[in-house]
Amino acid sequence: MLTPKSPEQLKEMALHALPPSHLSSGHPLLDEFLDGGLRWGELSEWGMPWGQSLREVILWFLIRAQQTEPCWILWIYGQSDISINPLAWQARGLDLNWIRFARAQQPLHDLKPIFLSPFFRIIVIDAPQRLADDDCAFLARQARRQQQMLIILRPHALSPNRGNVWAKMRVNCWHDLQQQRIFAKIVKGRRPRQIMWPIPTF
Amino acid sequence: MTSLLSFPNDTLDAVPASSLCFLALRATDIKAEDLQALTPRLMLWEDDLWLLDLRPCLSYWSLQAHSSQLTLSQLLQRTLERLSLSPDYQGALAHHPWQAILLVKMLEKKKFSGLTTQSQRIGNNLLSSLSWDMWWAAAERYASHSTSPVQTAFPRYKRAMQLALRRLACDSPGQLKSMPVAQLRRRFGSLLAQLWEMTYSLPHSSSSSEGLWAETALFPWHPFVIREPLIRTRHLDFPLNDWQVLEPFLREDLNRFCVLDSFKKGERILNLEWRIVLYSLQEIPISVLFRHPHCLHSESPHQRTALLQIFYAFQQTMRSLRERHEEAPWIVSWELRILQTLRPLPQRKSLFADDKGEWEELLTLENQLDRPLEAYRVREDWVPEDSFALTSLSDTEPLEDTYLPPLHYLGRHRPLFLMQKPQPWSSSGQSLLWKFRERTMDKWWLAQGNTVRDYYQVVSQEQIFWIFRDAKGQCFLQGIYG
Repeated sequence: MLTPKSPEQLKEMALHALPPSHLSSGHPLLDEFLDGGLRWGELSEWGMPWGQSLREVILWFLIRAQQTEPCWILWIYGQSDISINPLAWQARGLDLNWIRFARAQQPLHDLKPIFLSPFFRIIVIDAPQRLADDDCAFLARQARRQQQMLIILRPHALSPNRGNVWAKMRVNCWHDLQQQRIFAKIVKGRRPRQIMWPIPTF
Repeated sequence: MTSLLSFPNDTLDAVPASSLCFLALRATDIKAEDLQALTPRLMLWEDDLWLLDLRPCLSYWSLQAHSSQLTLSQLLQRTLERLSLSPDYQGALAHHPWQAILLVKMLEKKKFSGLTTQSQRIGNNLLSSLSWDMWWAAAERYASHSTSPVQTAFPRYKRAMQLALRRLACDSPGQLKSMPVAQLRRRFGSLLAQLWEMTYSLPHSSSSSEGLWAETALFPWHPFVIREPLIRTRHLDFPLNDWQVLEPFLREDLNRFCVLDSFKKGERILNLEWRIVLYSLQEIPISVLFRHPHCLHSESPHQRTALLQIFYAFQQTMRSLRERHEEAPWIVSWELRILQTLRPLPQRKSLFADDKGEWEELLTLENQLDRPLEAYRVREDWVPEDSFALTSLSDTEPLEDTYLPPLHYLGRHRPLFLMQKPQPWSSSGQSLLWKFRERTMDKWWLAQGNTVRDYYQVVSQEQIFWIFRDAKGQCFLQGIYG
């Protein structure tokens, strides 16, 4: 058992004993951009156009969360004509034993018991067709109360002038397919800035 | 032969045809109440040979097996051991009850004991080495269970077929695996043709899949009744149709079940029936199915899970009633019946108790939803659409580490999302960027035609697609890089 030798050391040990307040992605550039990563107990909203390989950015956080400690993850997808390709998810480093998927276009209506339970520590809501302002208020409250991480992925760019006021952080991501670079820009919740990193798609 | 009403499809989620979901068990000292810990659907085939239909709780057992890092058959073997069977019991797990019966009879003949499955090599070999004597003995038993009028002609057709087989000098049924069923039906009647088809049909082959399941529905299943359904009747003082008002009454009824002596503590329900009587005196049965066996005692007094499932079923019924009537129907009374339950397994005395708390929580959560959560397991298969299976309904062996690196290499370049069905792709007049990704052989032994697929990553309209070109040069969209 560790014994502190000074008040400073006690304070430092206490800080380490606390559960981490941030979930990092494991990519230094992105973590720095997000001031350490995503915060537990918060609702974040990401503008991610569909079909640009951008969901892999969210996967980095999920993989990191599973590596830190086994935690249950739920990925809710609203796209109607697609299904999950589990081999690709596992090959990218995700443990399929700890992740569940659900198809729902109105997540709060269709899967309400999920949001009332703290069982899933991370819930990703991908391309919901209907998520009203009240729904977002409810989700933000549940995330705070149950110390979960809720991530909403919108299939379009987020506007800085209007939109979800309940999300603590809003980020726009896009993929420049010609330059083979991914861009991310803070819309709300952190100091306004933009980053880009190369991604060898072709 | 007509389909028996006693063989309904009473599962909330569809059970795929490839599942091994029928268990035949021969043991001298087993009680039906003990077997009810595995499934509520039992049939006593003969003296000490039991048939168990695992379909109502297959997803539950599959998930339990998955959480214990076991296959379904390994878990069932352990569970049977917990039921204190004599060590010389014989059990067989198969796609069809008829195949399970034949396998158990072969185990008995060979004096093997324990549990085998049809998918294992030993099970397959045992079925292939079946003798005519055994097949005819089982067929006679089948005919005696059958209530169909064609069974009276069975002795006549049996003599005719035996004579034909003697002339053909055929020593065992395995020699005639490929005998055409249509001709058998014409010469020896539908009962023998049906039995013949069921003996060697495998649901994996696409041609016989539907056939085998049609035969399952025709199987002469006589359910073994351990206890009559538990019933609560309620007569309302005034007609109701508002769920907010109905809910407290239903909660009270559910809680009253929990104090009945005949409803054991720890018993889990799989199937409820809420039979409502409308103001017009019309009776409507509402079937309430649970995804996993649910314990009413553990949720007393709030009964959240059961009430949610009743609510979903009620909503669906009201919707269909409103489509027929213009006004919402009013309920004046009802009967709530517990139809199927699982008995609790005998407690193990162990120093190291299993920590299943988290899994139980997940099963409860899944029971509260009107749709299943999807859990996947990767399979040892290179074809994209066959490279995974739903965990809750698969009995695949855990993938060995040796298979993982090559599959993972493939998977790293594949997209996160697949189209539900490959769609024809036309690229007329668009600026496209193609990059070759992999060449995959199709399963030519299953279907004739295309054998090679060349996969490309294609950029079109600011999106990245996963497209394959087949041997005929046609392009299909199969995935999208989310």
